Amino acid sequence: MMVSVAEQIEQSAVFDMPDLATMPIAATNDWMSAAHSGLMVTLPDV
Amino acid sequence: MRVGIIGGSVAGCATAALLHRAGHDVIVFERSESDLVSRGAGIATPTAAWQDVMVHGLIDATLPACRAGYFRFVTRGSGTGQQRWLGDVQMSFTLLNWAHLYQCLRRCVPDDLYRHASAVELVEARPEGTTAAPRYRGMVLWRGLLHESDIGVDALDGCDGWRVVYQGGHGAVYYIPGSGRSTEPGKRLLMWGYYLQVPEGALPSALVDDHERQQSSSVPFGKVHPEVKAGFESRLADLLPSSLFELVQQCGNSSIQAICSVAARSYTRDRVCLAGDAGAVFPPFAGSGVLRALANATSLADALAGAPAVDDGLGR
Repeated sequence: MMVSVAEQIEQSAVFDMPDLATMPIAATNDWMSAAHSGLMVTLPDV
Repeated sequence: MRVGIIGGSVAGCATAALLHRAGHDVIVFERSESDLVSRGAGIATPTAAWQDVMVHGLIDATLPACRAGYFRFVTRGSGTGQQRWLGDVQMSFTLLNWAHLYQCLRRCVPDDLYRHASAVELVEARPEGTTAAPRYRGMVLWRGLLHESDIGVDALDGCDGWRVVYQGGHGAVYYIPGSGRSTEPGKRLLMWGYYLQVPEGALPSALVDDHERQQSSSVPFGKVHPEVKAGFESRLADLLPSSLFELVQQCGNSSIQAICSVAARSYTRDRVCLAGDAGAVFPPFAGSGVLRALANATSLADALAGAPAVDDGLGR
């Protein structure tokens, strides 16, 4: 179970990683918030 | 009880130390002729999980550790090459030097119970036994270590750790205690690690070391082939912020680990028990391999301590 969860996280973080460099700030902020749900995140102003 | 432990790394030493402490007759068989201090690099573990490990008494506060209260997320700015700040994420991490952890655990095992250069040739299998082969996950982790004193500037701009994201991968850069066990700025090591997708067909060529020897799953620190290093560098040149890419170029001490995973269906059969990498190979995400190795060791010791007989304990 733990292996499966760790695998999914790691696979997704590599194979599904979007090109954040080309995204506007609002879009990267959405991605950061979704990727770190439940954690305190400080984001750049839009 | 007489216990033979095959492999004297983190799980082996932790298991040996706990069972020896509980009064069992323990011998560790380690195939390497020398100490294993150069086998690992940095370990970033969630602080809460690390504190759970410390409760069992194998590791105490004397183990040098750097701390990170947050990680700064960056990517390469489009068109500029400079880092673009994506945000700071509050995460309490304990940052360790693998060599210090190994030495700490190794000291818990008396020398006469630890046999170097002792390879175990065969563990007899029963007909109903199974083989669990690690499965390659299509990516490698390329890691490097730099002495902070060789860098000249604060590469992380006052932060304890950066997470770097790029299309098709991600990585981390953080400080760990230096070779003199120092956690002082200027005396630490800087570790970087980046995931790169490598198709299975191309993996063997990435795992040829600097002496043209084919490695099976990883290339140790300092043994990466110059052509492989150059190839990886060319892939990261347009993905990393320029300041981080310069660190990669500057680094002459790196390793490559193919990311594989496997989990055994059962951790015990008869009197054989699996612990650490022998039972499950995790992706190295968030130091989970080390945490699992220590958790396996403490679980085994607890199960045996509370059982009326060995077989009862192993059955738990």
